Amino acid sequence: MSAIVSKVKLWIETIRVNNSRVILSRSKAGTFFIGFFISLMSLFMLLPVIYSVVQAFKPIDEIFAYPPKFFVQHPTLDNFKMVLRLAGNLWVPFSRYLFNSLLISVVGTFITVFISSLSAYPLAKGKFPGRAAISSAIVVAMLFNGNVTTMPRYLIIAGLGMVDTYFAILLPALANTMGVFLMRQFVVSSIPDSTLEAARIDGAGEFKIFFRIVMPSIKAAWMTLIIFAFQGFWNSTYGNYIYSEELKQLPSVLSSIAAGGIARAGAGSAVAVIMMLLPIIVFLISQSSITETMSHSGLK
Amino acid sequence: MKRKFRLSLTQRQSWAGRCFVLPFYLGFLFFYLGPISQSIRFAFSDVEILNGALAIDFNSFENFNTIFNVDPTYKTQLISTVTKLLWQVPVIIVASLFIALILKSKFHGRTLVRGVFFLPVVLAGGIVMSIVQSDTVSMQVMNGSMVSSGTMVDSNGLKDLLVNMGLGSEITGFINTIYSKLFNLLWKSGVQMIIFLSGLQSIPNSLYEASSIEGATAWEDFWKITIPMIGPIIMLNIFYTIIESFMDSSNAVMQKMLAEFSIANYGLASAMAWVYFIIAAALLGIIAFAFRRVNVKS
Repeated sequence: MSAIVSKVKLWIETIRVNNSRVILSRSKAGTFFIGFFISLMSLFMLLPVIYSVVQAFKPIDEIFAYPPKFFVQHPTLDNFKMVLRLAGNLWVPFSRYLFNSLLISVVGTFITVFISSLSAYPLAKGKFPGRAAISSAIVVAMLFNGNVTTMPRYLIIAGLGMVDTYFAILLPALANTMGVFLMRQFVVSSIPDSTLEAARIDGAGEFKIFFRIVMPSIKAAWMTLIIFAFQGFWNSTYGNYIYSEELKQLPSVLSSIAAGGIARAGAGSAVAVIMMLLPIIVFLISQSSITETMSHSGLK
Repeated sequence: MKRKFRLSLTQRQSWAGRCFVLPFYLGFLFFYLGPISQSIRFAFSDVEILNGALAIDFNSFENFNTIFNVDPTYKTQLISTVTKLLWQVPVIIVASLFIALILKSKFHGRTLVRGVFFLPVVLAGGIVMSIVQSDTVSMQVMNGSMVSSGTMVDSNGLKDLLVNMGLGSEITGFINTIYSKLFNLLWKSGVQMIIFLSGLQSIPNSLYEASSIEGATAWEDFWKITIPMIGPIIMLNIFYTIIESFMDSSNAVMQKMLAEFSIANYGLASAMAWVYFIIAAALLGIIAFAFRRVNVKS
């Protein structure tokens, strides 16, 4: 104890010597506080997820042990093996579900990001009649989430003859209101008008401006949109629109595996772990590729 | 004399703009305006499914009358839900901005910590959430302390868990209270946090360099550079938070509405949706008015 006290005294002494005023430099106190805060928060967020991951590695008797233990005593891969075995016995091969999921997620994400940024640029910077009206219509339309318009939306998709095709999922991605609003706000905040004017004076067409100036400047925004869109497509089952078994996606087959009653509790956790992996990987890749933008660097 | 057909520069720009927005217009028309206008019609009608087809009978304000004068609970639920949202939104915005500011700074394991805060977004909705939920629920059932609540991790489950891990009951109770409050908050601010983070990353570093040469403190930097630069992003996040919390299917008004939808009472449910929607739209209108100068800055 006394050793600690003397250490602290020494530390305060050093600060006194180094700066004539006694300041606990922000870098030390602040870093400690921020580090403490962040680790506490991370722990909070992680606890249920860790629990779920740990569950996936528990043998069946430990899952139902009383009193429950947080950590696994004898880790096993049985749960994952059970998922694989169940997946191997399906009528439609498992790889087909995986293919559907990947196809829908990748193509859908691409459509969402491309169309959203394409329309966000003129909505933020363009000059044409109805620009303000359509911008507010987008925000208002965000209020109508899937739950409320499920039925009329189904009627329209049925009317277009797209029920039970990939188009029922992919075409609505053309109008991702959240995506357009997000991109628009980023275009407003990070691209100065003078950059665009300079490009026009140099003779760049609108498409060239879009691909060479707008898109690189709002990379952070479309990387973010990729995350949101990807996890949206990846996690959804689209049970309303897709009936054919060979067009269904991973979540629908995995949830039916997990829904096999109490004996499949472990398999359920294994499924959760499998489904979590890809969105987290997408997130980490997109986060690490965001760097400071250069949009203002051309202005002096 | 042949006159060459040429558009002026502004005309050309405005046509390019329209072409850019065209695909979105089409999708918007089919998948938003179509369903929305349909739901207005439903709100003023008596909708029934007869022989596999929809029978829509116009009944003017009958549905709204039912909501406000016949239904005993709708009004009180509406008021309590909206007041709860009014204080929740600013708390979520401030908390997510705070966390985003911390996550923007450079420290070891930054990507990992960001990933952790991204978990709510990965888990939101979908199968993963339901399984994580059932894990914690089964944990509680076995402890004989099954309590239903809207939160993902029921605080009782956590309490038992911590006691089982060998912590004292006083500490456990304390942790428990903070946990359930903070968890709810953090769980709801995942998306906002990521949006803020990318907003902060779009601020050019040169601005901060210039201000540090001029001798500005970090506090001044925050108010004079960070806040003005991410103005549109703050607005985006406020809008998103309002919309998300209004449309959260766990709040009382939404549940009532969805219950009506699920028993195919489309007319009444659409009317409920429209009452709720007009309140939300009014709120958004007020915010848009307050932020009207942010969106026009260059």
